[in-house]
Amino acid sequence: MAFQIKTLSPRPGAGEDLHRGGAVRLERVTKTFGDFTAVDDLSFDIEAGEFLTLLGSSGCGKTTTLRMIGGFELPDSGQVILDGERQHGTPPYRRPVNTVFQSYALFPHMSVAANVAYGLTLRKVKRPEIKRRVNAMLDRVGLLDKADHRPDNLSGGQRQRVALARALVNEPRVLLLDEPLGALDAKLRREMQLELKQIQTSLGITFVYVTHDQEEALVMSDRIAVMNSGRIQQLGTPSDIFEKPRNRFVAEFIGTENFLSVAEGVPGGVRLAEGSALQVAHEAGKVDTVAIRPQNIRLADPDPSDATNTVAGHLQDIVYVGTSTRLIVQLQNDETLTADIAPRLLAERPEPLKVGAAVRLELPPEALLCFSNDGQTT
Amino acid sequence: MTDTALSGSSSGQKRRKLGGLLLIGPPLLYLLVFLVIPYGEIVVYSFWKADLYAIARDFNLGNYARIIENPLYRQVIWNSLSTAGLVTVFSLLVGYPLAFYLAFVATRHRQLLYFLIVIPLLTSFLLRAYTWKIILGRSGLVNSTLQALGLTDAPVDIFLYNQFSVVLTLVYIFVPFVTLPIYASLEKLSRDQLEASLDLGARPLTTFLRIILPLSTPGIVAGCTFAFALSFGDFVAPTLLGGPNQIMIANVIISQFGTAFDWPFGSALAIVVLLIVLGVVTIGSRIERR
Repeated sequence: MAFQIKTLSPRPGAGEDLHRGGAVRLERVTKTFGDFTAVDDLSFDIEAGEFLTLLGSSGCGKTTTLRMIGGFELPDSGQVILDGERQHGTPPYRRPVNTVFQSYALFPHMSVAANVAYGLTLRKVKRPEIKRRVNAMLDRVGLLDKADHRPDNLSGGQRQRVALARALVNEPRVLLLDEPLGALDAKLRREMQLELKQIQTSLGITFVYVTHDQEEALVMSDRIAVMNSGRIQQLGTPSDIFEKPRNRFVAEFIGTENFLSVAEGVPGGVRLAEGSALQVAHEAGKVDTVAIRPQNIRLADPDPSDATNTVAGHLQDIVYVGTSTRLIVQLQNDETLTADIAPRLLAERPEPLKVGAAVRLELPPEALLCFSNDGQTT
Repeated sequence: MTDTALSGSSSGQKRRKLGGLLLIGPPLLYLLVFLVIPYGEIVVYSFWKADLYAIARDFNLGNYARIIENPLYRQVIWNSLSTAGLVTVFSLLVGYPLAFYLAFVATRHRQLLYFLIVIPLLTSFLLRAYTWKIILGRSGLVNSTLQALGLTDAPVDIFLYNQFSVVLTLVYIFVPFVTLPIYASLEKLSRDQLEASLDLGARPLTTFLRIILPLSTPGIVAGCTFAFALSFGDFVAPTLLGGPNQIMIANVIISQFGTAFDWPFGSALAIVVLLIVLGVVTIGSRIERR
């Protein structure tokens, strides 16, 4: 890696490294643009020093939420509270937060060092102090040798680091990041995810991170807020969100692909619309849909006599996806299941699977998620 | 393979050379016919001498000496400089806010406003200058309004035939030339850049001075260069709206080529105009490069 961010340990004597983040609270915040309700009666708390991700597809209100914390949009109603202080009407230049923009928004007429120094020069910090802090920050993001370059002469990843340094050098209480890795290629993005998380941990600054990439959210966050239509669908730790999605929307967004409709409840489980009875691990109340991730489905013995929690169907398609082989199976009621099977397990079979073959899939009880139509997990 | 490749490449090179000549030829010819030859002729003429009704083709510096020695011509050049300078300053003072409004404030009516700024450029320069003569004249809009309001009893003559009327007309004419390049450079600024400045602690005025203004400098320089160069050599406005003291250098040049029949002296004056304008353009491009 040509430019490694140095964040693994706070260096001795660097006092600002131990700086702590601030807490953010949103109280019943609503924001509309014309007829469109971008954020709808939103309330949540972000703890000091937390890495919170707002996750959702475009138009879900995540960026508008971020912009209201930053002071670029005024809520129609409700309050944004930073460290116990109401921010209503406080302009961006008086808020103790800084933003890393998706476009980076670097100033093209200034050198890298001048870009990073911009915030400090406005706060009348003394020159030697500015120079020291700018150099320390550029060193930290591995761009000290680029200090005199213009942003136009940097690569995308380097610009991203300048944008980050420009915000962090001001030691904000809260750092807002609006899809900061969106323009980077996949490899660089994965590296930056880890580095951002390291920076956040070592500086202790509260990060509010906006993304539509569920993997990014899972890797970096302390907590994730999954948003849709201006509301939070679920707020929880990455493992909560991943393993116990509260409703079908969250489950779908986080990568659960298989949803099967339920005909009726039976003791200890459900009967599917296609006929099979399934046991579920945490069944309670009314269940309308069960869901399962493709990775959790196993290929079962075709013999139905000793089969529990299995469904039968015909193999519609086989797709090789590298780490696994994806089987698309059509059930008797025309619903389909997608199962990711390890290629090794398929190779062990006496004869290779062919499209059209009858297959039996096992859906383990502990892997089944149950949803009712009113949108809640049961 | 090598043989054919070599011969192929040499004939390909020839073809490429021919193609290059074809590409560069027409513009070169254009420049030669419409720039090099006419300017060369003026340079040559400026070193000749008018001899009653003929032109004596003997090299001398008399024309230039006349410009430097005669206070009348210095006065005329100074008139032109001060008029062009005032036009530039006021065009910028009107054009910058207009461009700013167009780029950042007007969202719904941007197209319409843009069109309104451009449309005067489609009508005749002369017509637009005449319009001001009518507006500012004895029975014009200004005087009739003043009289209707009871502020004056009789038509006032102070609006026409002075530097004010010349500068006003030229400002009116050159505001689009200043507005459009500034608008083009302001338009390139992203909302994110302005918000980043605010986010980093800059108030709106500081953001304007440290981000918007420097990034719109190329537009300012381009617009001011247009306004200065074009108004410095203008002869319509001073002819129509200027008084006897507002003679500008272009008027003198025209009279040298017309009634005075002193082409060599007119050429020398034209060369002086050219040098001054080139000087201004050079200063402009220096500022822009910084």
